[in-house]
Amino acid sequence: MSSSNYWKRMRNRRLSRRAVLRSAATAGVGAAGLALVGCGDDDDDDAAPAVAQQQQQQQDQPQPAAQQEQEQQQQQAAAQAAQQAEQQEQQMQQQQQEQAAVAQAQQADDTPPIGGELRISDTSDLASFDGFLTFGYKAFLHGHNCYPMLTQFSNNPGQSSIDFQPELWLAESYEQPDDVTWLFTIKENAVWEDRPPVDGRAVTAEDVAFSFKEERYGGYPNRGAILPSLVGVDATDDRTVRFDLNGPLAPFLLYLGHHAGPYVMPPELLVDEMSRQTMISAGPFLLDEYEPGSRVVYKRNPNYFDAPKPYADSLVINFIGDNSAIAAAFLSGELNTTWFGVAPPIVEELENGIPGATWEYQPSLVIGGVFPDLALEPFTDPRVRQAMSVAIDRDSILTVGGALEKGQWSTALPPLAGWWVDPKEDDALGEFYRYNPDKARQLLDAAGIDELSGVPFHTTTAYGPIFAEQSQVVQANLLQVGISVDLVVNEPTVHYSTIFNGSNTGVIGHTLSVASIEPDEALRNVFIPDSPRSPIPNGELMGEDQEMLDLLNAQRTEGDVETRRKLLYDLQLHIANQMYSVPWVNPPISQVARPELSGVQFIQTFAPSPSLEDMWFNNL
Amino acid sequence: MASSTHASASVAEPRALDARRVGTALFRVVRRYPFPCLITLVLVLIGAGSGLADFIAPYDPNAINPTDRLQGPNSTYWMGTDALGRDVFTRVLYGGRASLGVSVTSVALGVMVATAVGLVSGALSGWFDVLVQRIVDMLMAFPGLIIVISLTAFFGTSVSLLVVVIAIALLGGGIRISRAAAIQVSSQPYIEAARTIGATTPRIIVRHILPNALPPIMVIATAYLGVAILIEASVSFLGYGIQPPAASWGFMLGAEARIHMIEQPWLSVWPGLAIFLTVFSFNIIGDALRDAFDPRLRGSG
Amino acid sequence: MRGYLVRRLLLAVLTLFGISVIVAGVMRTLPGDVVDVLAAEAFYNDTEKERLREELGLEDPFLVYFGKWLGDAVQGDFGKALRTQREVRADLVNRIDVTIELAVLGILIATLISVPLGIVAALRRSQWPDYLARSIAVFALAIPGFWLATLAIVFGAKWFRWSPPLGYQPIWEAPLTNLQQMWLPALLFGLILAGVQTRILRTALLDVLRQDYMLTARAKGLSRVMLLRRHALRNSLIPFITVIGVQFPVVLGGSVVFELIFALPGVGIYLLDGIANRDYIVVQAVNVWIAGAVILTNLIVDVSYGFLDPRIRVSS
Repeated sequence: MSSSNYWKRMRNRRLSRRAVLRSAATAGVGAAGLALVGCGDDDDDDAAPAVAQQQQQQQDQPQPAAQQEQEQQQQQAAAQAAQQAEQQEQQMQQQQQEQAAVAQAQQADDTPPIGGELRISDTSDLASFDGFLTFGYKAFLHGHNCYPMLTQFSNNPGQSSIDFQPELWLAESYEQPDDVTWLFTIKENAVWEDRPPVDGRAVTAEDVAFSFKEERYGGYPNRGAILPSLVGVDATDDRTVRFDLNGPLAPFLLYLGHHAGPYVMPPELLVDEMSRQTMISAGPFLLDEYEPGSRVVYKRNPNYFDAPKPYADSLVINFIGDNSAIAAAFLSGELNTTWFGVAPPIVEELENGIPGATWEYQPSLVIGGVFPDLALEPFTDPRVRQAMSVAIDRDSILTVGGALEKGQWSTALPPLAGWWVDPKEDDALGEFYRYNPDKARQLLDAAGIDELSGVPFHTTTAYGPIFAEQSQVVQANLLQVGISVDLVVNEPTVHYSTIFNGSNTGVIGHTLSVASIEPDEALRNVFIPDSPRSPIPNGELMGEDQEMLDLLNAQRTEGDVETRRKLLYDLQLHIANQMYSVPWVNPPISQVARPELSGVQFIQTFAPSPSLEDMWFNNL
Repeated sequence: MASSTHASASVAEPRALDARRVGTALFRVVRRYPFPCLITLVLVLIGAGSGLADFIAPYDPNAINPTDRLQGPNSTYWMGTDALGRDVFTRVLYGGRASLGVSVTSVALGVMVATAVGLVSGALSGWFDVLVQRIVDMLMAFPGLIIVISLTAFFGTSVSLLVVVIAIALLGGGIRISRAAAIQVSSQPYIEAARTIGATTPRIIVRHILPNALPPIMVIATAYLGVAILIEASVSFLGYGIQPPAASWGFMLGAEARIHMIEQPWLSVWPGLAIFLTVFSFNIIGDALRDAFDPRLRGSG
Repeated sequence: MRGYLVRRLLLAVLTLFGISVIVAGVMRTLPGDVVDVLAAEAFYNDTEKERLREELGLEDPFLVYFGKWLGDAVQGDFGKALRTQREVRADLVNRIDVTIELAVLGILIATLISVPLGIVAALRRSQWPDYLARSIAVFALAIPGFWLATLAIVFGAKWFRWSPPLGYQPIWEAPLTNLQQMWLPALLFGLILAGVQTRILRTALLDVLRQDYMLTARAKGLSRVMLLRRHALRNSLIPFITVIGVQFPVVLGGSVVFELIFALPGVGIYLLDGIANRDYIVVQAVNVWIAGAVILTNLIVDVSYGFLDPRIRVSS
């Protein structure tokens, strides 16, 4: 095959576009210029240009009443969002003070020793090192070692892996002159690795601006949560970068460190597709060696701006596809810690096997469930979908996963602290989720269904063997109330291209969808009728549900935390009543570390990711 | 009354004689080949257990019972239970039905097609033979497992597809063996004689070549039964085999059992033993068959 | 001899061509493609997917696609993997080491096991050493390789707190690490392969021992040992070499499970990943390589007959 390919051409096209951007910026048109260029893009969530234009119009022309009203609402929302942001900011500052105190204490008592080879594993090889092309937990696992971000999720000892708090990373400080403008100063001692083509130059604000522009307008498919709000990002001097938004965005700091968001990469790396095959680091680790199909080896970056981190001398990410092999490697000490591809039963076995090992269960943030085609008779009837929900014994699904006590039941939301309401404790919501085959029968009778048979029920091996086992529990549960489904187990590829994105009509799909760190993100992924990430077949039928769409919009612009919580509760109740998807359980994700390893903290992104720079060996 | 008893006795007498004669013959065979006979008995038991699973199995193979999950072997569940609380003994029986079924049908299909093609190709020679040879070359250039994985991965997994694909994987060797037998038989004087008296080629193939080529084909078929079971198991291990909730031995050794390997090894020990015993038996019987067909090779396993 | 070689090589090329056509054809007619896989990783929308398909050549008619591929392939260029955009040839070369090493070590260990077993079984025919040897052979035949490997790795870790070091190292770079990684999979693989080898060696030896010249040699007064060394072993080498030739494809196929369980980055895993990612370029390259390796082995085996046994004259 010739090497002329899509990405190369995209890049060439973009290079010229970048020239346009630069001239636009120097001409002082700034945000508007960016927005106009953005118009040429075919992104599906392109709200930015419209807003920018609207703002321009504001100054020139008298406005229709409706638009004024809208504007007022916007201003209100802005104020509230600012309030929320302020709260977050306070929280963050407080946390940083605490952290500094902890760090000081550590320094005084015992700074973690530096050294040792940190060995972890991943289930498969990666497609590319390109921070713009990779999406999902691999971006976090590999990109995070080399490419910094302005903020990251804080990771203090004892903090839950799903308690997302932003903290500064590459950024040294920031200010917010108004609701839609943010100014960040990056750390002075941040430098790229000393090898061509960057040769150890400092990380500049231009690098940051470049990465965001590239991500936003480069035609990449990777749509970070922050991007739809971004209308302009520019370097105002070597160390200051300015963000212009199309409206207030309360979780701005959080979204800046979002695992899918843009990593800061040096522009030089994009020449000749170097970024696919290698990484140039300003982060905690330097890419040392990549052995395709086998492992990636990193070594400690001595010039890391957050020195003395990282504590490990080198980091090895091995690719091991087989569950037994992962368990064996952990038992024998070939791996120091495991978290992915290791099912709860194995974790129990491992914790028995190694005295002193630390283990932890964290709720997962994936949105999972049983997704019937909304246009498939009789699943068009909400009562049938409700019947399915109460026919499913969620606790026995958790039992089969080996995690009855540690798992949760999902609602329309995954168990995001503060927003998710536990159906086991809330009666109004619980009615839709508690196991009750008699009620299921009544609902089916009311819908005029006596018995159903031969409905294809698609599950997959993509999420490990336990998921497919749990599908069998669902199958058995449904059979009890007279719904007989034919189980089809798809291999990952087929699953991802059909059930996962809801494109397979005429069937009931069983899947885990993308994980979300924000309720807005979680709901938009699944319940926006034209979402490309929704596993609901014929999801556009939800477009008729104006009440739900209004609620979805309201919670997004609502700045007050309590009001938003109320809106989200109503939304969970409304969606439970409609039962567009039959939500499932959130089995915990488990992590084990061998006794020689300390400082093991996990952050949940798509999957729990360890904060590798914080780990250290206590027997050095 | 008396007459009727007498009549029945007189009818029964030759039967008893027959039975006695068969019994003596059987005894002689057993005394001469004690080990193969024992193995045959084992195989018959495994086959009967699988075939009659509906009557023997103590539980429903797919009945899920999470409260009883992952129990060790005990008096209620003789071989323990799996992660869904299903009875492993029951599933080994039903799994045998699937595994043996796939193995027997795929070997039957593969060997039948291979025999037909191989005999015709060997007897006819000419362009057909050349064509078949090239196709066999191509088939033999692929490891059987690779053929099966490639095809099932892409076409999706169903039992009938698995049967066809395993049959294809066995085709190359089968054709080669039957073709060689046909060529060997064709050069015998009595085939020449049959030709000279005007027998047609189809007649020669069916009446003369086939019966004489049958022994080596039967021997290879027996060995293939074991090979097919192992292929089915390996394919299941790699995730492309018989699909749940149906059980097969290969599937029971697969990913679902393997995550419990450290603390609950019995989950994979039973189906593993079943596979081992069955394949072992097929091979021993294959050896015995070869001895029986070819006295010259007697005892030359 | 030269004519024979040329004819065989031509046939090999023809077979490889046929295999390439079939593999490429089957790939192209099947549902799902690499863009679906990439889309699952990155959420492309339909327009982007279409554009990507075009760029990757997935929309070309089969003959154009195959012609392009074949044109490059005969020049040794197997193209770039669709998913990773890495050179397939370079990746394949790296991975062939692993598989070949596993195969060679496996066959070597199998030979070490099967030769003594086969000899003892043939010489003590129908006595207990024979039965024992045959039982061991059938035992090895009947055990599923992946099951044995799993038991070994899991219980090795559980009882001895040992498992092979991770991260494959080539033998010429780090021989010690390499052997630590390879001895267990190679040993298990060899054990599995020894079954067939023992049986065939035994049969071949028995055949030879029955020959008239053996009687003559014995009558001449040759000792049993000399007899075995001079005549029997040498003459039974031919079927034995044949069996190694026949086993080679089995070895290549069987190594998949050992590569998977022992996390060895070999050709088998490459193929499995290629299939899972619908990466036609990878699957085609691997299949052609496997087929080529098998055909070449068979050729070498056939030619070696002439050296081992002068009576076999290969006619051109």
